[in-house]
Amino acid sequence: MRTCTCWSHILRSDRTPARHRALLLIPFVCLLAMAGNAPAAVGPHGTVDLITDETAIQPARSFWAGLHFHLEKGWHIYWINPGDSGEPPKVQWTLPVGFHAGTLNWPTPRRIQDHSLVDYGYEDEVLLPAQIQPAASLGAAHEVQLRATVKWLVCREICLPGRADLNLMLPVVKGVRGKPSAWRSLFAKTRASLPRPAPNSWRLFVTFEGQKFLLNVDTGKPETVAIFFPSEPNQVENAAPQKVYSSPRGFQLELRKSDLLLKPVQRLAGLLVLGSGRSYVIQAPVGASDPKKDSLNPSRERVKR
Amino acid sequence: MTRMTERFAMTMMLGLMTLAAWALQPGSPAADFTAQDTHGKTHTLAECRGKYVVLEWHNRECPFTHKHYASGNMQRLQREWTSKGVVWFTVISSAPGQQGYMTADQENSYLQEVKAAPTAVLLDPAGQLGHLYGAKTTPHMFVISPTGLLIYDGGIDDKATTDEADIAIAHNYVSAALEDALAGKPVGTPVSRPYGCSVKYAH
Repeated sequence: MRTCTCWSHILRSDRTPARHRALLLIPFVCLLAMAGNAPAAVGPHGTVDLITDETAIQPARSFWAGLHFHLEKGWHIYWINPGDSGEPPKVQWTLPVGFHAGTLNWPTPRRIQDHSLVDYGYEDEVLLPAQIQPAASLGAAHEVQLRATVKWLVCREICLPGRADLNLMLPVVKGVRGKPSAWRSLFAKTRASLPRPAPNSWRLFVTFEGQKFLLNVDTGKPETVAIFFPSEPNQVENAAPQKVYSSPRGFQLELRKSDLLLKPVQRLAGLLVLGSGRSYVIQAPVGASDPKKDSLNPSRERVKR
Repeated sequence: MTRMTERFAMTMMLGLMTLAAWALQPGSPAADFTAQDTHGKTHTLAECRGKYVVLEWHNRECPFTHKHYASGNMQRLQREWTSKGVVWFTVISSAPGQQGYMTADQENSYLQEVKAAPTAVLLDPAGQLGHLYGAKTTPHMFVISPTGLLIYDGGIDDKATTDEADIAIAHNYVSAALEDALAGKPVGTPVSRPYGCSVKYAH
């Protein structure tokens, strides 16, 4: 574990060619140091490895696997909706017969300014986890192989494509639980921070005025920080500043309509990140006016641009 | 008026007011421009009246642009449409020192190397033409009608990826816009999300 921490530190802090060559050796050192991950593939301006939360698997008992990216300082990869430019990473799994891989889970992204555009993505380090369901019976197999072909785009002013064929052998155990891998806590932390459905107690509605969407959210208490990440590409102007107006029971968020949106929409869908750092999946209906006007009364005191 | 019809009229009015805010873009006049090509020749949009014009924002080092050139897709489109009388301008808005910036000589040898066939490549290192059209990405495509109206603004196709294999299954919006227009029909998709790398304008 220590070796890998050290390695990611080198990745971020040094870009001299000699150190780059030395870097190529470090993933192999990591492999020896820990189980539950494949050798990290060195891509453009970062690395990616395939890791799991357990060191051994059992028939029919699902576990987590994930693509673990480390990026050099200033470089980023993309969220599932990349924003104004870019492309999200893609994975193609090759698994033993009877295994099933769930879709990738996407942690909360950041807004990343690129010239006059705004992209949605990840910097430094990110884990994209997916649940793997092993076959009900693994016969006499002592180990299984997970393979992931990953394609991604890494950008910092310029963009470079990356591609890696990652391989991971996992022993099969029967009757006893596999041990947690060294990555268990990273999986737990990542999964705990994944966007969750908005609480049922929230009330959301959107009005459309001029060229703006006004997203009204009643969370029950005043909120001063809110960032919206649209899941649909052509609804909201990504690069436009989002203005938050706090209210006694929540907030109103002003979002500029995308120039690419030519027809009215029924709802705005995406993530809402609040000041606590927690992010929520929302679907807010777009209507002409507030269905219950009295209950939400934004003070229109602007608190954040 | 009964309360019911009153409410109906209000809803209609609101609906119309809302719709007005969405109407715009396609069919508006395309801004005239003057720009120099890689052979030192000056081109203006006004000169192209009577012909369809395609504008293609270009940065050869961008993986999305690369997908369409390495596969030969862009060259094929350039040949197909210029042979039918369409004017095809490739535009480079990368600033000096930025990725994709090309001198005229560098670009001319690249055109030969990749067998590209635009009508001309317009050099826009100051980004004036790019900003005039609001070009966001490479590639970002525009189609202008013979009467000077903007009839398409957006991505080259509906597969926003760097994967060459996607070209075969993509719906090409530029060809579709030209085909619709030549058939005398309104353009089915007049606007789409331009995808690719950001245009490398001067900071």
